[in-house]
Amino acid sequence: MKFSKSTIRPYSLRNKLTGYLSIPLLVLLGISIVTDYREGMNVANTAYDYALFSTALVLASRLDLDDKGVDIDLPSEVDTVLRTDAEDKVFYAVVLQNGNLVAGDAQLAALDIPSAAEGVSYHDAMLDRASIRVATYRFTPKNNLLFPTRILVAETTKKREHAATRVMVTTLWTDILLIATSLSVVFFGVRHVLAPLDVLSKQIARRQSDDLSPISETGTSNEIRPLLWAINRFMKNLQQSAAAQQAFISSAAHQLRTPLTGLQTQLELAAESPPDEVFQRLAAIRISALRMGHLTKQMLALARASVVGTSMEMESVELSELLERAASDFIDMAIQRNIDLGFSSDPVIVSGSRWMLRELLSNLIDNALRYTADGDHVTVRCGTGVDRAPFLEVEDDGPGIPEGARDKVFERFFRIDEQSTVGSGLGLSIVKEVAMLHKAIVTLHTPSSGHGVLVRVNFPALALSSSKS
Amino acid sequence: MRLLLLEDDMTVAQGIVEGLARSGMGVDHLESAEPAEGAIALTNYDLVMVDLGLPGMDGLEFIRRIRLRNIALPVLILTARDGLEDRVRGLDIGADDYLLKPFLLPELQARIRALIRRSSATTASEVTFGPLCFNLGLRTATLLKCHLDITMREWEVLQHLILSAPNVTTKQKLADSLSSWDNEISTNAVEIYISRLRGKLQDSGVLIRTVRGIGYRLELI
Repeated sequence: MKFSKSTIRPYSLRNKLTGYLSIPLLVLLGISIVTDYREGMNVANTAYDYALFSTALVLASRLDLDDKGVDIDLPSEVDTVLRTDAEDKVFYAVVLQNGNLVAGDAQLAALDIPSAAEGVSYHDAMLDRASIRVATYRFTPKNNLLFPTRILVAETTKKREHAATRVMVTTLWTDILLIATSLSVVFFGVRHVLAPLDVLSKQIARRQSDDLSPISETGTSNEIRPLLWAINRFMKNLQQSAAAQQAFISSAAHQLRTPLTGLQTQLELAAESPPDEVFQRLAAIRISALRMGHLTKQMLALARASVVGTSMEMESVELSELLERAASDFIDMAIQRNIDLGFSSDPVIVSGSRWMLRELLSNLIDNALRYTADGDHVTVRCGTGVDRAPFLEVEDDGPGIPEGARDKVFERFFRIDEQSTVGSGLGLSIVKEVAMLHKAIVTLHTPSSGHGVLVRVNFPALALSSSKS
Repeated sequence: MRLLLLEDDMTVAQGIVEGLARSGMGVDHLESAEPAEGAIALTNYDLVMVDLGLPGMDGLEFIRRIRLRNIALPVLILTARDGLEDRVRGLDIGADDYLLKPFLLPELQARIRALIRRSSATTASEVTFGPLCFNLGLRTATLLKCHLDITMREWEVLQHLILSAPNVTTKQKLADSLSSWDNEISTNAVEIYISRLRGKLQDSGVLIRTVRGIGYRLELI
């Protein structure tokens, strides 16, 4: 259920997407405002600068020049006309090269404004804390080369600013409209696009806990399909392992039922037998109980090996120590069965799980002891083989395993003699399972003596650097 | 020998009490851990057997508590839980050994004897193994109540075998223990001491068994 809870939240994705999109859009809007205003100012300047230049030309035409100096014919009404403007304040100054002011505003003449050598040039400047636009007209009258003259005409920039603002606002509206449209398309579009995910999560949430059938892929978009594939693959694996577990449980129950039936029957018979026969029955009861005990222990070991398998904790295990431990564990069973149990160990370290390897070795020895007869020999060895690869082997001189059954002995609940009640039929399955988890290979051989069986477990060769990975 | 058993299953408990009584061990049985704390304070038990899955206070918790109170009573865990974590945790907390259900009575008896032997080695300095009696403090031994004439090295070997029985002692361990107070001793030398000891233990009911390729074990016939 956790799964469905975390997927019924497509809105966070939508908010994120809208958020990520709106930030760059707002930055773009800011840039656009600045550049639009500048562009508007350029346009306004081009238009109004020409008017300033015209004024400068008017002033130039009124200059009166002779050898003695420069004079200007500028009656007050002309001055008024020149200075008249609806919005801006107009200034002018006529200055000789030596700095003498012929006419106009001294403040303007005092400004340090760079200008071209000849002709007209325009500059922005400040006068009385107001920004002004200045046109500088520099010329040398043709009839009087002695007096190069500079005519400055300036005005405040109010009408230019107004014009630029108007241009900026016009484009601003279209910008805002564009941003709003994109954001709303994303906002509502994401909801629409993600709707199938919503449907999918509801579909999964509605399922029965044991329904592991694949989710239909029809009508899904290319982007969602990989997710569906992954989910379906996962469900298929789950289904397979659930089926394997189910099969194991049912065969385990079946296997337990047999000794249990024996136990029950013998108990019933014992209860009804005359006292002197009870003792004989007890032997059979004891055997059934022992079998059940052994079987449950084996099944638990197998179940634990397959569950722990995926999260196995690796440690360095000295195989010869396992052999020493096994000697103590199995010597009584060997003595009881009159079997000569022997060991031959060279120190060798394997990386793996200690209890699992112990389980592996115990099952090999247990098997060997169970299937050999009075007076036989069982020998347990460990050491390093070729390529420094560690190995573990258990050899007996019992009846051996027929060639045809060698593949099957690793299957769960397989017994060579189906009527046999000796073992659980799980011993070699546990060996195989544990070996697989340790990337080790189990092989069956016939000992050099020609009879019996030799089970060898070959571990992968140790890496040259023994540092723990 | 007086033992305490904490076990909530009546059938199992009854079997253990009766089975151990036959080999001369008196067993007091309690079904939960709570009254057990008082019981071990009042009675001088030789060993306590604890089932982990007890109602009320858990078996592990009980062991932890008596170890916190510094009670050096040998503790044997009897449990059906065979998870490695349980086993490791039990031994970490202070249990001395671990026996998995289902078990056979002879196995239980052997474990109990071994635990008591080991604990008496540390507390009473006298260890018995059938007819063999070892005084660890005086480094003397008697067999069938007669003084056993053995050399120091033989004594060292026999002590090792007694303290680790019923487990197998490796030849290498015996060689190492001799080398600690003598020069390097080879495993061949160990064989000589073993054969001398065998001669001295002959017909006493105590036997040194050779486990081919690995070592020796002390047994009672």
